[in-house]
Amino acid sequence: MTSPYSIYHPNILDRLKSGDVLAAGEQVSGQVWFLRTVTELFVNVARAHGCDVTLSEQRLLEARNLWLDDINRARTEGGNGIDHYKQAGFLVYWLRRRMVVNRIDDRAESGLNGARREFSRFGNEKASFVFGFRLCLGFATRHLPKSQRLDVIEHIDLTPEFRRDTAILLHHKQVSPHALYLIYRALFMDMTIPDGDDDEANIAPTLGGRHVRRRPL
Amino acid sequence: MDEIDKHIVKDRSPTTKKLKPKDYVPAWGANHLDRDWEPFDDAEVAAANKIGTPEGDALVAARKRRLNPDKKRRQR
Repeated sequence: MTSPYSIYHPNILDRLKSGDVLAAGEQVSGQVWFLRTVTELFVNVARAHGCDVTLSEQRLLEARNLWLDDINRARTEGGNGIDHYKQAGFLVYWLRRRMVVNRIDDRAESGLNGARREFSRFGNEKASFVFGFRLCLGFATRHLPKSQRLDVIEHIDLTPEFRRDTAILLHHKQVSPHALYLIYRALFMDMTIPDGDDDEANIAPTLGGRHVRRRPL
Repeated sequence: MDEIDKHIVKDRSPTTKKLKPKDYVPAWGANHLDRDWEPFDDAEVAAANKIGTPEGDALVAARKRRLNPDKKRRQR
């Protein structure tokens, strides 16, 4: 059963800011929603890499405040609010910069030696980047017919090499929120020519090659 | 060096107030937040949660092997 704190929900950004009411009728604040959503996703990503993580509540709340400050301060021109890519860029920037992962425990019994080793070094960066990617995924696939969405999701390949490079850059260098915005936007951009013969071009292969969408995500 | 410097004007004109630089912001990111879509169901969540994980990588590798059975695996 899908968690109430699923990141794949159209109101996820509103929930991270202002909270929402759970199915049982319980009102959950924005702070708590943020803590639970980020923690749940980070723990899932860590376990998929054979690790366990503990997150710092204080630094998570700092990251949330800094993200909200940036979003509220951002000036826009000619639009109706800040899109998901930009919000994800700011959020991932602060999750990484505030180093929200407090502790990474290696679960040797999982056997995922390479993945464990890498996550132990770059866990905060890897989980932060995947958080932003998944945040964008729901919005990016929103135009797809329901009957095709699962098929498209199953064909997305965020390669290990790309993830490793982004993690190393996020760990060692300053990658700005604007750069992250461009990365996420570029990942979901369809560069194939409408009605051309190059539908299977190896650019945005999963979304562009599924023959379902002919407008920018 | 003089040849270059002579192309630089040492003017004393006021600058910032007329330009109002704060009004010049890029339009990026102002593309509207579209909430008009259905949340992912359980199967979609499960598939999405595999993206960017070793399990997802293994599924992709298996699919590629299925599509290209003759291609040799890359030697590390």
